[in-house]
Amino acid sequence: MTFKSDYYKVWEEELKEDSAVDEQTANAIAGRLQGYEEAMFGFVMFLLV
Amino acid sequence: MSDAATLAQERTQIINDVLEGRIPKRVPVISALTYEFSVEYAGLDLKTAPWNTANFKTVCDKICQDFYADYFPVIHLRFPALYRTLGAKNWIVGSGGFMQHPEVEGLHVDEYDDLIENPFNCIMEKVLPRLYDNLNADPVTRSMTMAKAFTIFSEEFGTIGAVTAELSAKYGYANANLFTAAPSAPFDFVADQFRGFKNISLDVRRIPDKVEAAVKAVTPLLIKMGMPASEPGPNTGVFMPLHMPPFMRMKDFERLYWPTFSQVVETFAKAGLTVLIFMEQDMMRFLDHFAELPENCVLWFEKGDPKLAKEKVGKKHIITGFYPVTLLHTGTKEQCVDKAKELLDILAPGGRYYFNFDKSPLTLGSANPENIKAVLDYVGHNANY
Repeated sequence: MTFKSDYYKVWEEELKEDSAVDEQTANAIAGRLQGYEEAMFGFVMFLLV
Repeated sequence: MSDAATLAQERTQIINDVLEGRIPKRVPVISALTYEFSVEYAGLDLKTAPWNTANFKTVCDKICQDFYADYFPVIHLRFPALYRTLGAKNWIVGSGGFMQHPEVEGLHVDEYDDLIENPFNCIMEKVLPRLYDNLNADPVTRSMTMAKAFTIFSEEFGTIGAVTAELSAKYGYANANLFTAAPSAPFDFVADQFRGFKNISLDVRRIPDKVEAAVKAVTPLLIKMGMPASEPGPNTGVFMPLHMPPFMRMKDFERLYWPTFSQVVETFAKAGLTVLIFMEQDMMRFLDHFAELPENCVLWFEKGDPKLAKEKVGKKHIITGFYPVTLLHTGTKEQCVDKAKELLDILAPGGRYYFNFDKSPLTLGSANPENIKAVLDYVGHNANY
């Protein structure tokens, strides 16, 4: 299940807005940055339980 | 192989057997003592000790030494440094140092449509600033607060993870992770911190369509919260404490609670997770519903009739709980052990049962530690199949 928000993005969405990044670099970035996106989502949800 | 490693292997096996519906060698003991109880038992001051992450290992080591367990026995979720940094209204440090959860209203009644339209935007823009004073600030202050809070959150869970691994290896606890996340049921999520107990009870009667739409809207967030990033290994679970059903009419429960809750549970089970459901208060009138959930959910009962639970859900799910913490406070050692024997006689036959209390003792004043030790020792050493 997915959801849309101004405050959570999957890397593919962010990549669409940045055409300057080549595929090899994009893969390297995704592995790192998506983890922080997920960690922040988990943190926000923790604040509500 | 060291003694601890051999013990860990045996304990992992019995827990794995129970969670997969097989009869284990003996009844596993999976107690969940709160960090607050543990701090006081270790002789530290609850007003000061939780502020220092270094105390976590000292406190837990003392618990591991003194209380029988097959799985790491301490749970810790409420961090005073985090809630103070955020200026929390939903978690307040009481005069004795215990974290209290007062009634709050993170979402006003005229904001349901915002939550329904985009739940995560609504959380970030409306709910969090209302529950956390220091996020209700200018953008610079807010970003600094969020950065500090996330650092504290990461440090606290980093400490818990490291100490759990170290002490599990030292004491030979099972290789299991039953609490990877604690997503609420969607209705409870809207009730607990968005609308509050009083407001949600009125909303259910006055604007049930809005409540239903809101509960459906937040469901994807709760599924995402509990789903593992990669394929879960054996003995991996998510913890779902249920709050509101005992206070709901059956028709409201069936319309507003059950559909999204069962959807969440089915999604987790399909992903290979064990769903550990804490049945707070008395849930006996909903047993037929729980019997419909995917096989091998863990149902941790607080109150009710253990014989009826065994009969209605005990052949499909795993049962735990029912042991009254109040008896640990008021009873003699002999009475406490006798109660454990009584529950073992009812719940252990056929497997699908592990021992735990009906709830976690919150503080040292809520249960006599000598009684806890006697009961855990008895079950740990005598409940063989």
